[in-house]
Amino acid sequence: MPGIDESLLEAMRLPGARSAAVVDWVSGLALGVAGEAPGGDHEAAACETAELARMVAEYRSFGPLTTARGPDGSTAVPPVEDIITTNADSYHLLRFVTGALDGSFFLHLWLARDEGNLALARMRLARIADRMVL
Amino acid sequence: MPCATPAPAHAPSMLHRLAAEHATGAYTRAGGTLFLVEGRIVHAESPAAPGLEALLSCGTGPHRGGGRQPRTRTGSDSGSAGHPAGAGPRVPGGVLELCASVALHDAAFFVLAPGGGPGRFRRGVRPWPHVTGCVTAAALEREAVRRRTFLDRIWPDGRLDALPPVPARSVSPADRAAGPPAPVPGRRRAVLELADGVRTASDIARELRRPAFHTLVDVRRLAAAGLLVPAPPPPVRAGPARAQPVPGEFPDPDVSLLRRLRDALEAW
Repeated sequence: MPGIDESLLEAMRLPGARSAAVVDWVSGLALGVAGEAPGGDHEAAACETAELARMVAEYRSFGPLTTARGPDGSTAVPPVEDIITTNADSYHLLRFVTGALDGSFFLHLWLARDEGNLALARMRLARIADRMVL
Repeated sequence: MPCATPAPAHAPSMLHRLAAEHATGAYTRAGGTLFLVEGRIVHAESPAAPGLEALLSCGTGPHRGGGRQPRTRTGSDSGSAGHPAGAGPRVPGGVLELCASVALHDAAFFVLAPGGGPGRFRRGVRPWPHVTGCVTAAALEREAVRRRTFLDRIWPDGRLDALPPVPARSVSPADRAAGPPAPVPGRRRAVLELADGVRTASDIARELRRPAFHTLVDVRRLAAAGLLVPAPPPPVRAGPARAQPVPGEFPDPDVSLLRRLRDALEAW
């Protein structure tokens, strides 16, 4: 059961990783950051990625409107697993952390395009997100 | 969406001084208490914010992690946020750390609210039994200011933070002409269902075991969608004739009594 720092360090060990963060998308609060800040400001980056995550998590087009419920009636998995954006030289990968605080956390990984492997990063980030709540 | 963080505007100067002195103790204002250890805030409590225990049981279903108990049972979960001592082995480290940080900022938002007074400090008081984070006073204030700006950007009606929200009954003809209302996402629908004009946003948060700030955000978004309005404040009761004192008829205050009272409060 790794904590925030261990999880971010593990994400930063991925080839091409520029930064990693864990963010609460309802409030826009960065709960932990590692590496250089996307756009030069970790707090602003958390706000902006939180806004993107919120839209994808809440808009019907990206999944069912009603969040699925677990067998005990608790709110279970958000309808979206991850969000990927690409630009000329880097990837941004957002992975929702399920199983804590109504799924309002996500991991954000910023990856250099020429060194990073998006498929590997996606699998690894999913594992990190799962292990945070195990 | 612009996310520039403005400089702290209403920061209580006493907190700055305590942080600069590397003070240890409990700093209390109208909205709650911050616990400082060597000038850093390690824990916060507010009657308006559900405690850490409530948050730990929010949306931690056993769909992952096979069979771990989603709820912690170590006494009450109202208001005070202590470390759930009995829950240690059952709560994953990552979840505990994430929720503790959320709980700290959640309570601190109310402690640092404008109009909470200069505050008072009890030196040497430590949070019991555990700390829930470690944040500088400057970072805490910056986040509280950002949160207030964030709320006002969603829907600039601060009354919704204190008055119980109530569903908007009338739909204007213009709204009706605009077609069916936008669908309400699941997490906001839960808030809408509990908005009965009696519960405040903090009450709804406690019931849903969510951070109070999350509920404030949801209430503002529902208000922006035209679905919630603040309940009218309770009418001021027309008091008897003595409710209107005649100027100049006050007896002189008992200064020595007031001094003794102040000294007793400060010594407490």
